[in-house]
Amino acid sequence: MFRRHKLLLLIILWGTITAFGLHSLMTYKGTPGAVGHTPETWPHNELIANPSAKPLLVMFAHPRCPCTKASLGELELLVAQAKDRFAAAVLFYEPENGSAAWSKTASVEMARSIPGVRVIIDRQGAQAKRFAAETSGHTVVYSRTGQLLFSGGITGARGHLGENGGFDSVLKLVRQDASPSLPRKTDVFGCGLFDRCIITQTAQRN
Amino acid sequence: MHYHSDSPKELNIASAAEIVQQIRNRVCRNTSRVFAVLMVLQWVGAVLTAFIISPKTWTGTTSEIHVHVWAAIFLGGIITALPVGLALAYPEKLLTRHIVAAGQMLMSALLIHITGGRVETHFHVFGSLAILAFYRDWRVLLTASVIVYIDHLVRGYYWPQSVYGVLTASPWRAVEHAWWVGFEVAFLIVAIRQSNREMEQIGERQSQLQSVNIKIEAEVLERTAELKASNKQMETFCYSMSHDLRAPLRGIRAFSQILAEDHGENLNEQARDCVKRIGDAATRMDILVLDLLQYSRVSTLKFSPEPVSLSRITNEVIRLLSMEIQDQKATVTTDSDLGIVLGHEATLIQVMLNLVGNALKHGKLGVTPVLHIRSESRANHIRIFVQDNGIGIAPEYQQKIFEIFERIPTPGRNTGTGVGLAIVAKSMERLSGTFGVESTPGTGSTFWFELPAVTSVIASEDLEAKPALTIHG
Repeated sequence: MFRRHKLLLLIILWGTITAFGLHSLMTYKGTPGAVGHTPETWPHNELIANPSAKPLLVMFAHPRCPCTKASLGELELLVAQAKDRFAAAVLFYEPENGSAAWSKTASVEMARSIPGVRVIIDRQGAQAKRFAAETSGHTVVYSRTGQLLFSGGITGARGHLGENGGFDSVLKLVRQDASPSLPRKTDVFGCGLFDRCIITQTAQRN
Repeated sequence: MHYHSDSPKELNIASAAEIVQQIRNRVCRNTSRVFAVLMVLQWVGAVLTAFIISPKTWTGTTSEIHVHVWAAIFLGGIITALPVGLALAYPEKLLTRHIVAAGQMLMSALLIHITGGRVETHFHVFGSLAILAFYRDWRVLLTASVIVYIDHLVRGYYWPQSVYGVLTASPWRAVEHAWWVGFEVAFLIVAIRQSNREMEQIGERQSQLQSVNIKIEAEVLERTAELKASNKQMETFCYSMSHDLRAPLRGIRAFSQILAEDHGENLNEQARDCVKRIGDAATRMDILVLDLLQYSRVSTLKFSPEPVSLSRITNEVIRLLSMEIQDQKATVTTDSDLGIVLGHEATLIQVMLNLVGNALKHGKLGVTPVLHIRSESRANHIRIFVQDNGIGIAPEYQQKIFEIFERIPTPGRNTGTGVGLAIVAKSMERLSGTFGVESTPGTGSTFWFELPAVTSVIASEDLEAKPALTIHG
């Protein structure tokens, strides 16, 4: 009897710890990263020209963030499902003293392998700051006239592939069959693009 | 194995239900072992996957170990520990099966997280259900399905975006996801029920077979006991009869002798010859009865094998046959140490007596018998040879002569009773030994027998080897 009680207690403890562990994991994966105030109109910059023929999608990414592979996976799916309906570019953050090895990662290679997607190295994250992107995987879509159509993430959780609201919104926007109910802003799940001190300095300047 | 027993004499038969239970237990044991190995391997796999896919998480230029890695090590380890522990400690218990099912489904959830929700990883759920079906217990599949349903229900409620990709989701979405699991489970349950039915049929057949086997075995035992009793009766009868036959024979011999000695002068030549023949016939019959008694004794004697010095029994036999050796002016030589075997001394003296006696009896006419007794070690056994320079035995008789009452027809010679070599054969059978003869007609014969050697040092003085011996008649 005593042994049975001990076993029952052990099973309850096991179940509780496992449930707590999975809950913590879900909480971590479901906690969005920081998102700044994205400009409503296309901010002029020297790296990417203002699109005139097609809507333009720009993704800001950290080359070493493992979660970004899920965002790039979703981007690949978008390109496959709405081919030639939009132009796309992925800007990989490179810190001030970044070595050549910094951007030689599987994520950069993966982005380069997506047809029609331009891969740009964003030195010191100048463009990301201009677009107020702070989390890897942050995606913005601007119309041909330079109006902000969408800002947010295109994954449902951190590093998690699968159906999500951001993906659906972007797909419908570029196909020009978006309904008003679709979200124009979504949470971004990924690693921080900048060191914490840089984020603080940027916030103070703004 | 547990069996029913109706009475102490009745043999035990396992019921069909018990056989099925035994098969079930074996299936559960094997499946639990499979899961014990599989779960440890998939835990190691989860840790390696986490290290490869997401080793670190970054914030600008700083990094730290990714939560997936910690989750794979610790959460994966905890999920694995209890089912594996139970699978090893209590592989046949129902509780073990359910905990293994729950653990396997939780591991699927963890793996899906670690691999970033890859569609391919969802197949882990379906694969696991198929392996869980090895338990042939549909309830286990229900536990697994319930865990999957609860996982989707809870996540759908608290983090709908992670499961369904939308911010709000109907609880029916969980049902939809669980449906596909249920779809597979339904077919697996059908397969399990079919397999269980077959298992029950096998149990039924095995039980029947066992019952028939046991009945046959009991019948064989009964018949064997009857045969043994019958043999015993026959042996006792033979012994008694042989023994009782000697008394009238002694009377015939004694009275024929009195008739010849006291009334011989009153009888004519023909009557005296008849009286002599009566006496000789009675003597031969007495020898035959004695041999049969000896054969019967060898067959029924109860003994425990003990170390016996072959040199000692050989010397004893030569001493017993010294009169015959002298009469025939025979030469008998033996090797110095013939060795020690496991046997029975009185029986072996009788065997040697018969072999040496035969060799003396069957010498060539006009040739002095020369006998040599030697031994040879052969793989934990000792073979002893009795070699003579007698008339030899034709190949066609070399097997037959060891059968009772079989004699070689030799004109003008006393061919014996045909029991002596049968006693040798029976003695070797009783002592688990072997025997045989090598012979060339006209040259001589070598009879041999072989018994297990005693290799340990025998302290007894009686067993010590005697020096080589040569006896001249």
